[in-house]
Amino acid sequence: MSSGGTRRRTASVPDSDPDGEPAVTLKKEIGLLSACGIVVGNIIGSGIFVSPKGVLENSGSVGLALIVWILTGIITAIGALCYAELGVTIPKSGGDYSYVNDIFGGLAGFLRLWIAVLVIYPTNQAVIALTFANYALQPLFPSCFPPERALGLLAAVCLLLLTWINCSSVRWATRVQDVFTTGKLLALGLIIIMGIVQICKGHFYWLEPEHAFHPLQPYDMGRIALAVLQGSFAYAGWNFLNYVTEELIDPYRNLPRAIFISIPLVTFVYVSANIAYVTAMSPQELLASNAVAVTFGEKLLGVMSWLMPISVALSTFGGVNGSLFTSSRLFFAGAREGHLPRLLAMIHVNRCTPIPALLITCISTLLMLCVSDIYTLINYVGFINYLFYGVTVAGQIVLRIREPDIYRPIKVSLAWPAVFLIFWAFLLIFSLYSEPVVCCIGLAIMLSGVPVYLFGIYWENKPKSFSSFVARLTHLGQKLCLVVYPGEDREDGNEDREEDG
Amino acid sequence: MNKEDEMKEVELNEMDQEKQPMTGETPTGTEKNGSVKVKVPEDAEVKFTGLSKEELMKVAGTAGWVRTRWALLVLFWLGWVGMLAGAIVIIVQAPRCKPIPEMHWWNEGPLYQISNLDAFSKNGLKGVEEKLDYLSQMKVKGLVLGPVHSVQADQSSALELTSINPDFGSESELTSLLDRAHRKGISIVLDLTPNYRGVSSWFNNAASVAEKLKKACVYWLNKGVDGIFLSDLNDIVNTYAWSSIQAIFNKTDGTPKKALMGTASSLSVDETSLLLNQSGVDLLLTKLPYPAGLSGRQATLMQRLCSGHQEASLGWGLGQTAGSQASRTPALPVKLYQTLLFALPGTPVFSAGDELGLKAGEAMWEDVNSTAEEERTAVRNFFKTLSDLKGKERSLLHGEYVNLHNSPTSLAFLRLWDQSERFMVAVNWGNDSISMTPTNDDLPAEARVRATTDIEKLAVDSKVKLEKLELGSKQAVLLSYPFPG
Repeated sequence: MSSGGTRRRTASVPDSDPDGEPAVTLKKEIGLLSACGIVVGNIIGSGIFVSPKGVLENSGSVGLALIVWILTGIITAIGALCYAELGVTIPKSGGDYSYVNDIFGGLAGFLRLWIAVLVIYPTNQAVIALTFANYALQPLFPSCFPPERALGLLAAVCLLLLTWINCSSVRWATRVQDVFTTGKLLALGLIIIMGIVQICKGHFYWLEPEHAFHPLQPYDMGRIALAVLQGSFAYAGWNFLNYVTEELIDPYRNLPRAIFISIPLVTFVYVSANIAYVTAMSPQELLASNAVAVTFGEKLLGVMSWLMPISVALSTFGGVNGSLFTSSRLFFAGAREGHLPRLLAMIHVNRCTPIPALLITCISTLLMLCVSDIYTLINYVGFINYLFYGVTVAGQIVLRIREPDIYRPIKVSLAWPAVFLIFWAFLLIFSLYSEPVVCCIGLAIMLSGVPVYLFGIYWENKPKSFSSFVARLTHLGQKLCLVVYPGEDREDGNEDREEDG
Repeated sequence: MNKEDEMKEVELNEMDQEKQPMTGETPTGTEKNGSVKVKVPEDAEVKFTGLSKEELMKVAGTAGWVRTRWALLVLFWLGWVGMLAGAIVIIVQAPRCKPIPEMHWWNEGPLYQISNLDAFSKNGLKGVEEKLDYLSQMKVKGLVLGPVHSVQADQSSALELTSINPDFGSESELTSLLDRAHRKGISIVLDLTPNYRGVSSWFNNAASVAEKLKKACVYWLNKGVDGIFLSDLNDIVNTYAWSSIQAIFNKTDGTPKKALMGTASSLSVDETSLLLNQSGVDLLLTKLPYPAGLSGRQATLMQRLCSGHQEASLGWGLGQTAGSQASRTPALPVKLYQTLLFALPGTPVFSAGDELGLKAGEAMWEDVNSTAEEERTAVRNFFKTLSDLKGKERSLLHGEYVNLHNSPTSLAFLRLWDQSERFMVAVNWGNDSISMTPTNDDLPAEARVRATTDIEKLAVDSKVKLEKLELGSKQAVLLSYPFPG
């Protein structure tokens, strides 16, 4: 879909040249079905293969775990609607970083950028790459651990290969995404079909109401909050549809429709997968497994059990690609706002790929691969990540009050952000209550950005030597990577298009 | 969560580029005019800090820079290929996983023996069913029930191995218990020791009841029972009928393995070892004696059995007389025994109440004062900790047994498996403190405390130096350390 869109936009360039008109308009090529495909394909990731254990463990019973999955889907849909209004009201790249920046000011936006660029993206990418390596080697090491150095090297190989692909071509990057999205959808389809077969065979003891809600351990509100948080990880990616709004046919009707079709569909798929899991494994077995999908495959696939670890590995490979793709665009948005060095917003002269941003992301992720307590670190920042969802949705309410007359093609009732914020506050409070140290460390890491902001951005009259030093670094980077700042004037823009044509 | 948020931002980026001229030439709204104004300072900054396309192409297009970029690209790919080759070499050279030995349900966790159903619950079999959740939470894998069949003391003619004594319940109650237990992953073993109320388990003539026993085994296994337990195994093993009884349990028709288990009293080390080989039972339960307490002879017995037999056939329990609660004494160091039973190769078999440290005369579910309740909870939590470790850790499940130290009043050994976490156990049942100096190539300088009866001196999760391990009177500790590599 993305590559198709890219090709069509490229084709539109010759049309304008013969007429001599410099104006180029985007063709609306994404219909409702395509929009749903984009959302579904990007939400479903490796989370559904590894999160069920955490959700079940913290929920305390099979029935409540399924309710948590459904509830999380509903909250995700509400959040997506709120983001949709922000997306058309503030039509800028950068997602919630741009919204927080515009609504709450530069410092809040910078802290969001700081935590994302410094910790969240590198840590997420490192963890996903390690997960890829782990599952890829699982068929070779079925009952013991693969060598740690091999895991690290394989994760680095995966990361470098995808970095190169993203540097080479936007089209290739999106094709990689499409291929691996197909892979994980097939894996999930296989799980759900096998689950249906199990139910037809009569294996549904744990789905009967009197057993489903039998507590495996006493219910605890703090742990239920953690279960919802873990479920939320599996729904990550719900808010990126904003970036294709201008390509939607009839966006003001299709955007809400796409949300109300896609997210319930994902929720249905996730609940179905969890139901399939408990048809093949007792809750005790599910909790004892470190890789739910793999254990599921071993039980039902027999000699074909290697299919599951490979499917999960492919899914995580696509996840690394997706993360590289999006993180480099965040660098662009941050640099454009002046929160990051200008070099990071530059793109290749011919390929139009953000090479400096991709290289920085790659290097920081490689550094994370050398850190030993990376899983602890990702726990710290998971809380902060969720914190900013609420801040962004709160920003929607603030914007309604501050600029009530601004153009809003999509306008949702204020009840929705209110519901989202109540739920969000509940999660935050119980997360703080359950894991106060972890949450406070996350806050401390985020606040470490304040002095950086004051020195690097707020302080405007920096010495000339500093400015010239930055300029020389920028020039060096430009020469090594052959990158320029995009669209700095009309003539250059025209020349770019002519060459591409 | 943000990792996929901006998947399509590149398209928007390109859209931005294409919109620039249109915006500049055809103002269509105040906002866009505002955008244009905002752009001006940025343009100024860009010109100051960055090279324009023309400037860049002039400099970067020269041979020197082109060569530099190609060199960097070659270095990148050399590094990539090097990493891939390195990963492949490490993987190829890595030792293969040690094959996991065949595991049956009775090898995966502790067994729980309820010999005296009346003491466990007034409701007999129905009462046991009501407590399945309690047992499941402790990771119990199997129940050894009974005996519950009909018999009159010392009258073999009244023996009915296929009938349930009405004092304990009915066959339908047993069927219900079986169904519920299986759904919770708990297997049921029936104790069919014939003359459990009389003087001699086998009426002094095992051969006379062998045929009845054979029929009863077939009957109960067909009903869904998962195994049969027999006391004083040495009496029946020597009869001609034994091989045909064994055959009932050795079917190869693909159905799940049924267990033949037993125990024998007052055997020497050699006699126990011989019985294990001779009987071919799936699990031989060896009872560690009390109130007399552990002895050097018991240490020798454990060591030789662990070293000489497949651990899958070993079972360890407490007490001279099966389930006789009257024999317990208040001074019983129950946590010490729990540590030892869970750490030994083989399956720990606990009598009802062992997980609570039940004392003489105490009832299972009766309300006790708050001090005793706290004590019970602590013992039970300790039991759960050990049960969890046993179920998860490869070394404890099927690791090699390595003796480190033994004396008449103390014992220490290692459990090792492949590249898994190692476990070391030290137990001192004597009246004096001891100091051990364990030596083994595998041992590091220090190890981590995973479970301990001496919380003050050896706190859980603390590090302990191994060159000189001090253990107080009647204390035990379970330590772990990583695979040396």
